[in-house]
Amino acid sequence: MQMKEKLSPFQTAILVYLTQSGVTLFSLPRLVAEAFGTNGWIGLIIISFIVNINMILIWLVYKMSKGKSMFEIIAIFPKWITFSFCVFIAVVWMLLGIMVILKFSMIIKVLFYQNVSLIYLLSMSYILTYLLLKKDIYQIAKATVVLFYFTVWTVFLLAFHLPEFSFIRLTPFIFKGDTDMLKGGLSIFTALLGYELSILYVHKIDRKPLRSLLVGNSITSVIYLGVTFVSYGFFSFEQLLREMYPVVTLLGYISFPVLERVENFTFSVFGLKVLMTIVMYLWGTKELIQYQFKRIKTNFIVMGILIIGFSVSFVPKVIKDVDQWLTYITYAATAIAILLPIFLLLTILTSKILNRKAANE
Amino acid sequence: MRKDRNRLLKDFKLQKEQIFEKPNFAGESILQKFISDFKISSDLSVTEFPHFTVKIYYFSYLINKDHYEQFLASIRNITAEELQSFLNHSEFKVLTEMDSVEEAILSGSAILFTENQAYDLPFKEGKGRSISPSETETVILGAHEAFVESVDMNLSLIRKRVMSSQLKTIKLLVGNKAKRNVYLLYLEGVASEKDVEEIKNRILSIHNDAIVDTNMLVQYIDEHPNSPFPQFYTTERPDVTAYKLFEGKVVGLMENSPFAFCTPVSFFDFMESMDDFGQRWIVGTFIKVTRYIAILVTLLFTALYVAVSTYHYEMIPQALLPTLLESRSKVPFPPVIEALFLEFLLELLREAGARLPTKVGQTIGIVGGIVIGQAAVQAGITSNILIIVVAASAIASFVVPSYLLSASIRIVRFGFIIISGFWGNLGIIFGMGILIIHLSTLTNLNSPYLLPISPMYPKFFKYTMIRGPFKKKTERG
Repeated sequence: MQMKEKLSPFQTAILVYLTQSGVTLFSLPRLVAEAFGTNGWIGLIIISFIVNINMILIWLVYKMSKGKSMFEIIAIFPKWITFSFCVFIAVVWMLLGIMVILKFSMIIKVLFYQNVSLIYLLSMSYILTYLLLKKDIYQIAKATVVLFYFTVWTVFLLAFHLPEFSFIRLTPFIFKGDTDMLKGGLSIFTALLGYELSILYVHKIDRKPLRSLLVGNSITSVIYLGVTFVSYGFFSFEQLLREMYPVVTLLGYISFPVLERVENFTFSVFGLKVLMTIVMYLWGTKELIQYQFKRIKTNFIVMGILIIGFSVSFVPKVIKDVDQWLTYITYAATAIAILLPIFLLLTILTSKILNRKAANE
Repeated sequence: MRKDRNRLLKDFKLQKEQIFEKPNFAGESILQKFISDFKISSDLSVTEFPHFTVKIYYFSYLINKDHYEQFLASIRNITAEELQSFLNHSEFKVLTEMDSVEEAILSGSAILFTENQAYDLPFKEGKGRSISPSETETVILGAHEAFVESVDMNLSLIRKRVMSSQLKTIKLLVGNKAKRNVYLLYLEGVASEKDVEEIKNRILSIHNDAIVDTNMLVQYIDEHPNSPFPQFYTTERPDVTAYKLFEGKVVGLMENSPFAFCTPVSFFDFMESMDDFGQRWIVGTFIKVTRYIAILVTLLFTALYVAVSTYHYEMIPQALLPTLLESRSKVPFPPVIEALFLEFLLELLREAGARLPTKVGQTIGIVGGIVIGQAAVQAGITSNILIIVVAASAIASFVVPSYLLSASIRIVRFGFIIISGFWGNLGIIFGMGILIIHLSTLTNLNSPYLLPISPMYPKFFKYTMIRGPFKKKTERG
């Protein structure tokens, strides 16, 4: 069997899922409760639907440009425009990746490893990130699939909570309580971010690009929905609002006959999921920088990104600072996710019209 | 006949002394070259004839003496002209190059030099070990024959199993000084021509003085020489080799090596045994799944013990806690030292057992069993529970059917123990991350190492991950 250097639909779906599934998962049920109130899990379906529309936009870019990459599309602009454009996106994505590493490391330090210095935790993440980042997207995707198998079993741990699940806790009310649909909805939307990176690799997908993207998002949505639904039936609504990281609390209830309180183990396993989010965002950054500076060797760019990332990691001091950073960065990333495909679509359309005019003249 | 033979042997002894005398006939530059090349070879024999200018050179232990004597008897009483016409009409190959003369005589031919030509008299003797059951890859159900050092015998073992004209063989020479034949075998139309070409080029590009075994050869042609994991599948079983040929793989045989290599292979090929196919598919699948669990146990069990007993006591259920604490209380070292000590001792025992003769090996087993089992605990060096853990992971490591993979995994396990001693569970996951990234980027002949898991090909699962039921129709990868 000889392998083509293309992403198979399955790999793409897994890549999208693991990029989307990040640190927000741990606080997701609370975020949903804050945003949509009672039975907020229904709201997740709506958000997931919006993401699907956004994915269709990305697919349209691919379809209308007849398989061109994003860089080929923006090549018609003058250099200074593409430069500032790429650098802006690169900075946002890089900061997002870095803050995700930082947040996960801080959570794990606060919850399980209070005496371990943050530098150790960060170094571990950066070493793993480096190992993946120096490879190309095809290799990253191969590792992603194995990491998926290694982490996906954690979803089935939800079965441990089913005996404690009670429909009464769901309450008969829908979207009641102190809700903040717009701001809250946006914060939940950020939990599904990560799919927008597919604009960089959509042309590398072997076949059925739209379906593989949608399947990826569906996997994320189903898992998010499952976790949120179980949390709604496991915790009371009030409790859910007060839990900082409801999913971590959920994990704490799991026990096996020979091992109990395995949450620090399973939480570390989640780290590998978070790793893929980081790797993909930094990969996006790497691609954008590489496009601007074609002469620099890839390894130097990767090292540069990681060194900058490591240094920036020491600016925020506590999780609250990181959350503040993350809020602004994810807003920017959300804007990129929605506007970038639209902008590219417009570019393709205008260049087509201009070409046609030129041909007519 | 016997008398004849004795006389001939006497002749040989006399002639041996004359071997390196300057030939008394002219125009035989190939003979001169031959003589200068084989200058100091006291084991080289020569037969000369009084009535014609012919010399036959050979290594007496490489040729079949009976055949040779028959040949001598047939030419002894003929004239020089008759001999020439006999040689012209015989099937003996004429050798024109010095290289081919050298190759022929070293592979067991006698070389007959006439005034201006050299003839290859193939009286090769198939001396060597007879076929015996495999020691490294034993099976309960299935054929017991294993390869031997003679490549001809090995080829015959494969030909017997793959009776098809589509089985193609390519002969290559490896090594600068000591040349050795390597045979590449593949089924035409089943194996990829690209693979054959690639492996051929890689073997031809080796410029090394001497490669003595298949397991050495494959390390010269693999893509990731610094990985601890074996990338070419080597086996000494002809039935496995035949099976791999039918799967579309390229097989390599090397002269004087009882191992064949197969490529392209994935990690899961190392987890297979011919026994799986002899069993009912449900049993076979169960055994395969057991092996995957065994790999995880080998890799992580001791590491998990170290992590839990160093950092995560809360993970142990209350009922088990007193037992563990009691067994740990006498031990003065941290768990990681204790575990490394015991694991290292076990590796020593294993290595000692592997090199020693069977009878002495048993003594090692008893000494090791008593020292590790009883004395270490009583002396307070290790805890009881750790012994169970280490024993379990050692047993699990022997479940892996491939000796090469089993050895790699045992090495990697030490990494996990050390890292879990530093960072506990987080360290284990970190190590797992590195291992996964490493394995998923490995390749063998440009084919991914973790195929069909990554990249994912679910339709091959039933041939690799599990042992699916046999189909009446053949499907190929």
